[in-house]
Amino acid sequence: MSAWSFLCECLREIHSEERFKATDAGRLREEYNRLVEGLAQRGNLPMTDTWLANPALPDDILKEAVPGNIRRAEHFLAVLRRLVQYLKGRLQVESVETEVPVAFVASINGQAGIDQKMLKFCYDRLYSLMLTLEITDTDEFLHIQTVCDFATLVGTYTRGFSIIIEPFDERMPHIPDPVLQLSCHDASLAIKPVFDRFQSVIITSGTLSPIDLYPRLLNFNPVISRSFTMSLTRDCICPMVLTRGSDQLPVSTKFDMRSDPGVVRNYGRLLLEMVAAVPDGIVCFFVSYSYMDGIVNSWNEMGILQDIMQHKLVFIETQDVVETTLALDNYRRACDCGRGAVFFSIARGKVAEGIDFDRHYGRLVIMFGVPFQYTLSRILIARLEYLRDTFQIKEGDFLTFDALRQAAQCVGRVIRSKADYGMMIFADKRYSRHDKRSKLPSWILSHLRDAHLNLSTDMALHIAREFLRRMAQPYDKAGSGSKKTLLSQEDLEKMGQSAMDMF
Amino acid sequence: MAHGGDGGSGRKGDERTENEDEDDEEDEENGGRDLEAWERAYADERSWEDLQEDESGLLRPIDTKTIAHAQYRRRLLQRSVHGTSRIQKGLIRYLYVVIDLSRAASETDYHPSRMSVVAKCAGTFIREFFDQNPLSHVGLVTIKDGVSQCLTELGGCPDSQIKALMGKLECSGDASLQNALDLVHGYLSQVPSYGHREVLILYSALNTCDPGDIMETIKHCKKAKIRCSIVGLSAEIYICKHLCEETGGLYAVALDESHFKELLLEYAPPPPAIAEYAIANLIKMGFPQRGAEGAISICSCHREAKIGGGHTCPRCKARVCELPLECRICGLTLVSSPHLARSYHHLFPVTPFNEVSHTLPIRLQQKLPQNCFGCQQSLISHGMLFFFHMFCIWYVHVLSNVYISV
Repeated sequence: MSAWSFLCECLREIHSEERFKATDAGRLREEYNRLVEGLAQRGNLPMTDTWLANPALPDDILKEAVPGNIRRAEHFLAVLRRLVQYLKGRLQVESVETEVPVAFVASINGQAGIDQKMLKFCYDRLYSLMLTLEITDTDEFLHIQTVCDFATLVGTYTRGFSIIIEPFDERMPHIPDPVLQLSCHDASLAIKPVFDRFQSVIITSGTLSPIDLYPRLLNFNPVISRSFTMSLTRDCICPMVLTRGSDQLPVSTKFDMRSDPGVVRNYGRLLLEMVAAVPDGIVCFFVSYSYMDGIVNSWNEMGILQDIMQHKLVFIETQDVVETTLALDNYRRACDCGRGAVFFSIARGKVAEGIDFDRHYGRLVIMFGVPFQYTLSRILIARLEYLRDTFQIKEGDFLTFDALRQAAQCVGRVIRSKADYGMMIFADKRYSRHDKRSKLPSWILSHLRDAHLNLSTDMALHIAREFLRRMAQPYDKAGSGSKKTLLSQEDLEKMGQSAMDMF
Repeated sequence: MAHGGDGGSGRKGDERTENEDEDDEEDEENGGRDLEAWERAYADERSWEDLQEDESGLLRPIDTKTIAHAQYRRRLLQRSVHGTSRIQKGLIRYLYVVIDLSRAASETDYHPSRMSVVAKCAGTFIREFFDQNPLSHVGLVTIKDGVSQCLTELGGCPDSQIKALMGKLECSGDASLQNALDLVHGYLSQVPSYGHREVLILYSALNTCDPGDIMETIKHCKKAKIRCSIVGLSAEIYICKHLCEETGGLYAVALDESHFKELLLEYAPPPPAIAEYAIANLIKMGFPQRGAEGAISICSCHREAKIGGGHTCPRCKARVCELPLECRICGLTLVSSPHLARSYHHLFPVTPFNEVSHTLPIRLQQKLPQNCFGCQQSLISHGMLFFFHMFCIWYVHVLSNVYISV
């Protein structure tokens, strides 16, 4: 839905709210009295987990009394109408605008006569109004709720956010499609209520690397920060960095190289060799939808896709959730029945975030390129600026950190337990550089042998074959000697004993 | 009987040792062993893979012979452990060997190609199989172009099977596990109920292109008590593992040619019997007499007149050339007593011989004889003192018992 029709919808909702209001004059009266008494409803509530439901708002909003000029429902609705009209006006811009909340609030105050305090209470006031009118069908008022949330956030935070108005999509500059975004640059705002409320907080993840960047991003001082390797019975992950194709020319998704037919062909040959050598499921991650569309199209024209399909079925993630779910389901079935399948997916996409490709559903994951964010995006630029000014984090550092975290996230999908095994191929010459590679989590780095840092397609194929044969051999699940990974009762007791002895 | 049995096992053990380490290097046996590494043709030996680095950084060849021998010992021991627990075993087996001749079989990661390695090892396996299971039958099925074909019917003659296989070595198209299973299921459902139905699939491909739901086929196989085992050549495939788990078979993936052969030979000894078949059954068998020298008779298997030798079926008096087999005329199973004894040995295996290295205390060494009792050869060979000596295993077995009592 475009921003314009969205706002129109808001106006319609305000209108229907007025209709409700007309029928419920008595209840509104009561509400007014309550607000006058300064008893914001939730101020009286016992301490519950409401802070979790609404972590972004500081406590004072929830407790402070609603300002006088929006205490009456009709006044409040008039304010909302003015606000929506103002936003409508702001959307009719010709060029991209970026503004900090302070300037934005000042401009609202000047043009619509709504001051910061009123903005701040929009969320609360609407909530109260809807409770009073006993509206059960809250979906109906989704749009006006969004506007109120926006107003409250803008009114509350002076730092860490910026408002970006883009008049059209960059891919289609001729079609007006205005978008107004409130972008949060500061992750520490979201985690702050957690730190405030709890004495000890433990943050764990498989992709927290480099680990020293997180305290800066989240603005806290870690008491302990540790990076652990995995305790594996056998070397069941095999990360590889592939820098060259079968013709020994470098491969990369760098902007000036990605459309080079040689690189496209080398990537295609890599996948083709791998589908012939790896059983069951293979997952491929691409850096973006547009890149995937382009490369799959080229492979189709070169005939590579047809060759791939002789070995395995091909499934593709799309922006449509239903379609993707269906594709995933069929992918799993193809892996189950032995036909074998390849899944093309997007780093940062839905699949990369939440779907596991464990066991035979993913014996190999290929990361084509480094998943950098789209660096011309206004939001990203604004965020980078903020990080540089506030936390002294260099743009390049943050971009690399973010890209490698995403890459680790993608390849980590393939292994979910130590009984499992899987290979990971980082197919881009940039991964062989130390500044990129060192940002991978240590559980990957500890298995990344020096010999696997600068491979070409044929070498990777050889390693893959060896690895798959080795992993297919029966092994002792509990491990033995120093590699013991399944502890028995006695082992635990012994460990406890030795720990006691140390103190 | 006991002596005969031991003698039989002795011969068998001795053959197997040969099979283990030296079989395909028979030509090398006569002198090839003495060649230096660089003099040998390394093309299919891959001698560079047999290197390992020691503590000081020197490259040394891995002593493959010792490793192979250790594996052989381990297998013997394993078998004797099974033997002592007196598991009932399926001695009469009806086995189909399914050979995948799809596109993947033409890959050259095995030398000269997967297909020829598979065929060669399958030949060795079939011989070994009949050696160990004289009462059993083998048939061959191939998978090619997405369909499976019966190459040979179930039969008891290793030579004709191997010949048929070697004549059909070309590969193309996709592999279909389901088609192969369906075909074999059709054949095996006709065999007598006392026989153990088994399929051994030598699978080169990494996928299977099936016309229908393979899960249904697996269920059918399970219901028909067909024990499906698979030896893969390149990597573990989920559906293969699933099939083997469901039907009680074994799944293994070969690392290289020698490992592949070793894996195959593990399928030669009879597997434990399935509980449903464990009830006692009476099977009619004939023990034919050997024909007199010089007697001329028409052979029922080759349909031509032969002079001397051969065996005569006790029921229909037809002449057959080789044992064991089913009589062509009356269908009686013809065996000889050593065959029965050899099968019987799977139920009551010989305890493994003890191996003694020459690092033994002198006191003990002196107690032991220096020469083999049977052939009078010195037992102190160059490297190790083997208690089981090539040609007189039976005797050494007795000796080892003596040693145990010491």
